[in-house]
Formats: sequence, C-alpha cells, structure tokens
Amino acid sequence: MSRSFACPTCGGPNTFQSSISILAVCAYCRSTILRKDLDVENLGRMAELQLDGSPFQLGVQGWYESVHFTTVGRIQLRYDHGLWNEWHLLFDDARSGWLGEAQGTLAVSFATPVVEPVPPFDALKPGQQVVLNRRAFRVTDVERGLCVAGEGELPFVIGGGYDAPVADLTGAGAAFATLDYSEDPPIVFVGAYVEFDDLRLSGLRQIDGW
Amino acid sequence: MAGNVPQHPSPPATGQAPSVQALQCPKCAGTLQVRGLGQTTTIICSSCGSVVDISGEHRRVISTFDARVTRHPVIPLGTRGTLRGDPYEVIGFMCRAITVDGTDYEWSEYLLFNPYKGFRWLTEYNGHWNDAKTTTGQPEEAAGQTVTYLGSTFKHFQTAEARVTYVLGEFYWQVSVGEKTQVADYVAPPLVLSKETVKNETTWSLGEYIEPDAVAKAFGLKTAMPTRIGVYVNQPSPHAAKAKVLGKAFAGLVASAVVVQMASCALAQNRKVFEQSYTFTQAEKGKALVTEPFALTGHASNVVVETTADIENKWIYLSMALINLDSGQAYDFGREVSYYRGVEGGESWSEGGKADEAVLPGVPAGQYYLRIEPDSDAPPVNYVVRVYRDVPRFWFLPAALVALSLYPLIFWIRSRSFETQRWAESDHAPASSGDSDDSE
Repeated sequence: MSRSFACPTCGGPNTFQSSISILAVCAYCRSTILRKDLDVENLGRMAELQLDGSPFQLGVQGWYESVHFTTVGRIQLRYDHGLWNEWHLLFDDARSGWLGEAQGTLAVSFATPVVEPVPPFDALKPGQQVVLNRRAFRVTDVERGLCVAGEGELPFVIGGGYDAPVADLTGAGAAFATLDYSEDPPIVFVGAYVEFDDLRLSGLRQIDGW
Repeated sequence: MAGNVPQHPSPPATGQAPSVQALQCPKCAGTLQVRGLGQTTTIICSSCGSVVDISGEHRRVISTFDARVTRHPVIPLGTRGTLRGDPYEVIGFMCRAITVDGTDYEWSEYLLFNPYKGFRWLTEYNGHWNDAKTTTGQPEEAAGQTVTYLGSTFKHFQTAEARVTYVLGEFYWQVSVGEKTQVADYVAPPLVLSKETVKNETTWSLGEYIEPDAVAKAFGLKTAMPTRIGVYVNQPSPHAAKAKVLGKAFAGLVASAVVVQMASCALAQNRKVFEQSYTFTQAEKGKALVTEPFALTGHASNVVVETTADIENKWIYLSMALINLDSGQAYDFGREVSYYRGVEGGESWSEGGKADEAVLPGVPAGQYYLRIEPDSDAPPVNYVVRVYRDVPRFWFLPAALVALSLYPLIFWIRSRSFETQRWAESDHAPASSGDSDDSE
C-alpha cells in the first residue's frame, strides 16, 4: 500500500510505494528519510550517485517469471571491478526483490530465509560449495564492497561509505545467490541470472547515441 | 503514484551519459576515449601504453606495456556493428597466446559493448571467428571430460595456460600484459564452452562459430578478412549439414528399393508351366528329345528351368534349348547335375547337388518347347525337368543397397577426415590416445 509524505527538508512530495520500504531518498533534495509509524524522520543528506552508464533508472518496468515489477529504489556499490547497482523491485504481488546489475550481467533475487547456517564472511573462498535450502551453490566472487549512495525507496537503512561485504554464488541452471554480510546474521538472497531481453523492460534511460 | 502536485516541479531527471567520454592519461596527458559509459574499469593509453584504472574517482596507472609492440585489429576500435539484432561497439582489443610444444599460438579478442545488453566478444584465430558471451548459467562438468550446458554435451578439447600479449582500448576488469589464465575448451560444434580460471575464480563463456563473411557484414568491413587456415575447434563440419539431407535421401532410396523388390515379388506370376520325368539310358546317348509345347504368358520376363536328377556319385549333362514354336528363336544352354559323396579319414564329404536351376532372363510371351540332349556315362538316370515362368528374384535389393551405400561411404570417410583435422590440435589427437573421439 503506498503512502505519500512531504519531505521534511524541502517539502517535496514523495511516496513509499512498497509497504516493505523504510527508507526513502527525496527525489528533490536527496534528504534521507526514515519511515516511522505516523511520521518520517530526516537522517540527513544522501551521498551523490556516480555516473555509471546504467540503462536502468527509477520507474523502469518489466516482468520476471510472469509477474510485473517496477524499480522503486537503488543502491549503488563500488567493488574491485567497478560500480554495481542493486535495484529495489516492487512486484505487483507486493513482493520486494532485487535486480543486481554489474558489467552488463543481470540477476533477480529475493531475500530468503535459509535453514542451513551460513559460513562467516572470512571463511568464504571462490569455488567453495555452500548449501542454501538444500540446493548446492558455488561461491564465484567474494567482495568487500562499499555503498556509494542510494535513491528511491529501500527496505533498510543505508548510507554512503557503508561497508558491504558480499559473496555471489551460482547453482545449477542459472541459479544465483548473494550472501550479504552488512547485517548480522547475513541476509541471503536467492534467485536467478536473467537475460536483458527476457525481462521485457520499458522506461529505460535513453542513452545518447544508442 | 503520487497525485497531482501543483507547487512542485518534476524531480530532476537522471543525467544523460554522453556516448564517449574523454579523459586524460595521467602519465602522458594523451587523450583517452572512454566508450564503456562507466561500465569499464581499465583503459589502455594508445600513446604511452599505460594501463589506466578509471574505476575510481582518481585515475591511476596500474601497469605499462611496451607501446612499440603493435598488433592491428581487423575491426578498428569504435566500430559499430550489429550482432544478433543488437548494435555493438568495439571498445577493447587484446591478443592472447598459448604455448604448446614450444610453439606459440596467438589469437585476437574483440570486446564489444552495448549499454543495454552488456558485453560480448568476437575472437579470431587463423581466420576463424567466434561470437562469445559469458554464461549466466553454470555448465555442469560430467564424467569422461565432458561438460553439459543448455542440453548440449561438450567434449574436452584442450587445456592450456593463456597469457595476454597485447591490449588496446578498454576492459571491464583490470587487464594487464602477461596476465595468465588457465583456459579449458570444450566443443560441441558450432558451439565452444571455455572455462577460464584465475586463482580460484572461474568464468565460463559460450562461443558460437561465425562465418568471416558474417563478421565483415555485421561491422561493414571493407578490408579483406584474414584467410581461414585449417579446421577450427568448433567449426561446424560442412558434412554435418549434408549428413542429414544425405541420410534422408539414403533412407528414401533404400525404401524405394525395398518397394520395388516387394512389388516385383508380389506381381510376379511365379507359375509352373511344364513338368516331365525322364529316364536316361546309354542307348539314348547322343539323341535329342523334344517336349510338348507350353505357353509362356505376360510381359517379357524370366524363365527358370529346374532339373533334378536322382543321382549319387554320378553326373548327367543336359544340353538344352528353349525354342519358340512360331519364330524358331532358340535359347541354348547346357547344365550339369552331379553329386558325389564319400567318407575320407573318418570325415564325410559331399560335392555338387541333385538339383540345378537355369535362369533365362527376358523371354517374351509365346508357345515354346524344350529340346533336351542328355549325356552321362552312368547307367539309367531318372531326372525331372520343370519350367517356371516369371519367378521373383531377390538379387535386386542387395545389389541396390551396395550401390546406394557407395556415396555415403565416401561421405563418411570425408567427414571423418574433417573431424580428424579438428581434433589433431587437441589434447586428444588420435595419434597420442587410443582414440575415443568418434563423432556422432
């Protein structure tokens, strides 16, 4: 259920489109706004996003497994190989998901409770096997990322400069998982690698010359 | 969405990225043209050979390579083309090499970029091109050095250590000259799966053989493409496509031959037109006898003259002629029936038989009789002569099969030689292994 509010700093009209979202970055003044039961709280100004050439932006629509979604938020991160984005997806069935975008590779995933204990970050090695809900995954990448900035609405509090230790995993078929150690216990996201064309996207950013 | 909000303008639009960004080389101050729109992290300065990290806010030189060493990309950097329906721009070029038995084998790789679709590669070796992309799925390594991916089974071709020998343009990782990667290739023509391992990190890419003409057309190249040499690892066999057509044609022809054979058998009269028993005695030696006339009907077809004689350790020779009653045309033939048997050294043996069959092909219809002149040195011999009209023969089908198999056999030999050439440069060259690489 969406909830409209005025930015406490600039008065700009903003909306929480997803009931899961607790943080919003004001589209006008980039104030970071925390959702409270009745009110909102200003957490200060969000850091600037870096120009990354992503074809995505807020309001992009698409389809994943026959369910329509809209991008309502974004976290931009920096890791060894450059910049990477996590786009917060609001699905029409009210689920909240993520579209990871790095160097033209796309993956859709959902926060998923797992029955197995997740190995600690420092114990992770590429190639290592990790079982998540009885499915075998292999660690492909272990990164100490850094949160650059965010925009739109997000289901947790972030800020520029925050550490984001994460590991990417792949499984049978195009199965994909991310272990996010920025919270304790780590959050597990499970999903699949996806092809750009399969998402049937609309509302993408127009890129000059393309 | 928010309702109407009169007092506020729309939120500021996200900045549009220019298609090419110009940076300055931190070492030689030359211009670096960045085409990767923030998705690439490393660019090579074409004037001083510095490998510059552009991923951070501060550009820094990671390494330097010898700028005097040059290779000339067939497709120049910045060229746009259309692959699989999408536009792509060549933004990076690198050469890599492996060393096998002291010989260097170097190939080229072109990094292609589309801001929406991401990256893909074109690779070229000895005039052979591949269109490749990093796989999102995880190929499964199966037993016997095979890998399965998207329903195809790939056979291991070669594992070698590849090193970067030349770089130009920009890349999405920190590339450096001399960088070493373990590369294992698995083939299922026209596809090739490459597994690249650096430290513990593994990347798979799937390539598909692409004709040089298709590359030239996709990128509007006017210059001549490198000449193709030899057979490439995943080059589709020109015979493979033909094999299907050939297989269908072969099956069709075999079926026709079977139909012809069956029809000829089913339609054959297979009729006995004459039968008579005789007894030969020495008194009749040198004398000919003639039979009663009999009718041969239908289209011109064969006549089978069967002679059975009640003999043992004897012979009888029959000089015969089938004669047309009206025209007098004669078909002369001589037949011998002989049968011998005995026991030698405890083993019984036999030779010959008590029956003989003569086939006269293409005999027209009409009234006929037989003239028979028997000869034998034995005492009385009883024999029976039978004449059959239009008897089905079974030689056609086997003969047709042999004839029809000739071309497929030559084809198979050629196709096999293509595969032998393909595998000659692999880790599984037939000469060095027991050969378990039979295709199909």
